[in-house]
Amino acid sequence: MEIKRLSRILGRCSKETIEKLAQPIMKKYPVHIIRKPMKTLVMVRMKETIAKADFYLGEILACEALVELQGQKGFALMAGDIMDKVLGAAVLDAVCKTDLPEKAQVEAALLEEEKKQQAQHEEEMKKHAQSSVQFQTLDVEYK
Amino acid sequence: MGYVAVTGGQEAIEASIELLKEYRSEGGTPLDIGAVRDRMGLLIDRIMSEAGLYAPDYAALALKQCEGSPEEAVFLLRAYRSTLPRNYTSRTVKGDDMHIRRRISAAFKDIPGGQMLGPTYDYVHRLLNFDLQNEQEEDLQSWRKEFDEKAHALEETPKTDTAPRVLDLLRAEGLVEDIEEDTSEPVDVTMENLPLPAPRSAILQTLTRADTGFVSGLAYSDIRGFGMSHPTIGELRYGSLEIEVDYPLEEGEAWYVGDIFVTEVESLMGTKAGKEGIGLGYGCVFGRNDTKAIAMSVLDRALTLDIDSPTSDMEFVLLHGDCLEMNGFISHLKLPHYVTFQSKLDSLRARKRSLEHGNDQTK
Repeated sequence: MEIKRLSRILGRCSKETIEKLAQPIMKKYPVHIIRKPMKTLVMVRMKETIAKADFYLGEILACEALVELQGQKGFALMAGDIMDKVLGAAVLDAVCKTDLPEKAQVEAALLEEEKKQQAQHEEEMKKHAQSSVQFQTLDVEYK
Repeated sequence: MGYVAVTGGQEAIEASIELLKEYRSEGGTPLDIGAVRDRMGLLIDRIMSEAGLYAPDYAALALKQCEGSPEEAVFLLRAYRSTLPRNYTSRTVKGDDMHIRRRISAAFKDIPGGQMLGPTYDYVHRLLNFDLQNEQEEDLQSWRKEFDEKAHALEETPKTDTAPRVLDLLRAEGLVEDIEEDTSEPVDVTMENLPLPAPRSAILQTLTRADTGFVSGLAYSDIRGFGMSHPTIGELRYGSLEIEVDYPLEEGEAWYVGDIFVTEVESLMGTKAGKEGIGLGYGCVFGRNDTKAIAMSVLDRALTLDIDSPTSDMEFVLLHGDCLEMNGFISHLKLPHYVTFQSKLDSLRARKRSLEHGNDQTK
């Protein structure tokens, strides 16, 4: 799975979902924690629309972890401070690079999560779309 | 005359801090941080914007800690932020990619993608709703369920929640002021002193983290006549942006960090003397804050004008709007100034004595 897609699914998963997928692997295989979960800041670089200049909008509180599993490194960086989630996500990132038998199961579960996330996103779009403006021009002539 | 260290009052300070806790715990209703985060969203947005730190949980915690004082909450977040490493800078994000939850234009009725009000107080009656005094959580959740079901029942799902920019329509017609593209590396005012004159990146960063009241007040003064602006909102959009960083384990790959909600505004202004086309102003702030984003766009424009106006004075606008700095400075006036003030009194007394003796030696 493409890294961007994987990270988006992981980022939008609950801590419980990530732990449910990662913990059996962490129990079964040795996971070397290279960088234990820790907080970090991520500065947001944004492009404005007038002179197309880049500027710094502000920082996001995030947490990150780096692990190694079966000779493969796994990384995670997520907004917020849920350390168990970021550690589990790093493990799952590593799993997706291995040939472990659990890989297919993990990927399938993540794809199911993605469907749920997409459905939630569509519900949000629908909710907001109800406030779309249907203009009607009044039959009034201004002189 | 400088300051001198004084001692004493330690017990009074400790008692004062205890009193803070006593004031904070007034009444018998516990204040849940999750409730502050979820149901005081606009205040959380304001705190995050002025702190320059997107951290809703910590903003809620800060508000709980300081009895809801915005300036104290910003101080707490800024102080905490200074203890953390910044290991990443995001890939450049554009408002074009926003997942829009609110989008309006005061310039055009029909815009590609349409106008969507989203959540706004623009059309509510400002009447106290006394029903909320006895609001039952059960009823509220029941209402939410019905609201969700109503949306769910809609047959048509919007195809997309992104939209083209209104400004691009005007650009395509050649009606917008010609502005040279700025490809310079952005300045980070949290890491270095604000250079003056400030580059565009420093102006925008300073304004976006400035105090909401300061930015709004200055923009208001500009529009009222102390400046030259009267903007038409070309587009105001609010929604989420996906933040990504370079994936450190594989070159060229992107890693999604999370979504942030921002309000972005493009204002259409008058034409500059000697120029052609509509002038523009830009504003973008963390969270849902129409007023601050619009006000920022007004000041962004004002700072490009070479006129004798307070809002076109870069030093005046950029050096006095930081929440922490302005409140910190005002607040320091409460600290002991015994020596400086005694010195002033000594001078006055000496002058008074001299005058009484008909011999003003202070001249």
